[in-house]
Amino acid sequence: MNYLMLGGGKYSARWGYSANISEVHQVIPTCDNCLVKQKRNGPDFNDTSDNANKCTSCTNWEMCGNYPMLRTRPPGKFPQDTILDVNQSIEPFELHYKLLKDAVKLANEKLTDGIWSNEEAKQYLWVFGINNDAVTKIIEHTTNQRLFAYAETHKDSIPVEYEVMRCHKERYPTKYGPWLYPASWTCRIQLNQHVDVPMHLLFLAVTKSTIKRIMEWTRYQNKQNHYLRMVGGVLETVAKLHLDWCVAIPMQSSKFGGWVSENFLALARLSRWFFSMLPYLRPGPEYRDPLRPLSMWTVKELRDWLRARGLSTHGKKWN
Amino acid sequence: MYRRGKFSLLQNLLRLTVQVIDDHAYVSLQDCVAHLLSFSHNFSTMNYKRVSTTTTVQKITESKAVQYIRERAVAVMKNDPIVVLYCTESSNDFDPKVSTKANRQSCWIKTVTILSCNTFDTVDKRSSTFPIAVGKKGHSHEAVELAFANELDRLRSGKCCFYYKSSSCIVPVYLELMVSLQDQLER
Repeated sequence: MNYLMLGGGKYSARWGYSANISEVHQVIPTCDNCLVKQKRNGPDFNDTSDNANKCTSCTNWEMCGNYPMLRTRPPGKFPQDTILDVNQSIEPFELHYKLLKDAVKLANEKLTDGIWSNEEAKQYLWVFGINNDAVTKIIEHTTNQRLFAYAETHKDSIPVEYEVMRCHKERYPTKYGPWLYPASWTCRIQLNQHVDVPMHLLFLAVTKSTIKRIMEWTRYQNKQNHYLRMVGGVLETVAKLHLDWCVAIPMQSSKFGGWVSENFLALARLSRWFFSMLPYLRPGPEYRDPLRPLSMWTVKELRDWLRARGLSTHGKKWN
Repeated sequence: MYRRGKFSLLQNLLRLTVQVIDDHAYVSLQDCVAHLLSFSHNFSTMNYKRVSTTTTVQKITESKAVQYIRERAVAVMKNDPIVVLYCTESSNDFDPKVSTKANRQSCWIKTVTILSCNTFDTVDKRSSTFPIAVGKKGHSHEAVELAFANELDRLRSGKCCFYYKSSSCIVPVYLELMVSLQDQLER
């Protein structure tokens, strides 16, 4: 709807902000010194508008602002003419629709004039968190504009190409103009009005992550099979009751195929019950290395060997 | 008896007109407001005064966001009495109840809850929540979003008037979207 990247994007990990969090995540949380000050003086312990009092080792959970430690190197082919900093770095910023429209407009102009390459435009829009779908369309529109302008200028030398493009333009006029902004960008809704829903945060983020961590722990303890049987049994008995407020579905494997929010809600409701059984999990048969030479091991044996050591089992057998 | 004919049940039931926009069933937001005001809900039509910001916020109508909506409504309507409403929209994908497997023939729905900006007005959220659009999951909902945005713009202009049952007269209505609830994929 917003044509913005999901939280997995490098610059879009936090909704409404553009920041390379993977590079600066260590300086964002409150440091020990600031935490002590904060406990002593309350949340207003430090006036962040005063540069002299600013902590040099953390931003105290601030994402934006004049913090040199938040500045990061731009992506490889980021257009240099948009970087204002002398150190050739970019800083995090809060996103809003006007900013996104300006970014798209600039990219459109630069691409149409041939100043930026497609890759430069992609990298520029990527930093703004604009998703691949929108970027592809923006580039397609500007390419059409540029090619049509060229064909029109040289229509005497390439009359067939010009005629084909003219017919195409008549049929799809919007494809030969600037990319039209999505409805949400143009109406008077602000980006910060799209808030996170507590239900999603609780049941898709917290519950799912917790259950995955526990599953990982059971795998390392060699207790996963018993754990899956135990959890699957609990969920199956509840599923048979067809409760509309606790829609449980049996867990077939360690993957959550077909699971939706209400299934995780049911899992959260039942978690105290079946997590109470964790101390009684029995380990599976102990793994033993095959006694044959390594060159004679089967794929299954190789996978078991890797799994027993917590290593990835993906890949091919090397002969 | 039920579906066809002048006196059929369906033709005489009080219901909103459903239109089709780009493969989506869509109900006009203005129709929803008209529908809501045609019942005897008590929405104040007086001029609003700013609530003190020093008091603890206990209701959403005491929050700054709602206060700003009231102020913008007053700025638009000057001194005329007006019903000031706010709405929250929510959209998400869902599976049909009859589906035997998850993620098959999934649908998309957008709902709107319309509430009063006045602290003393109480409306049951269940009766003021309307499904606005229903479509298929994965399709582009751009046309619906555009229609919805245009309607929101019209309702913010202060030029939309509706019949108001409680006072049995036509009143101007100002409505703003306060918050949009969506998961990451929806956004």
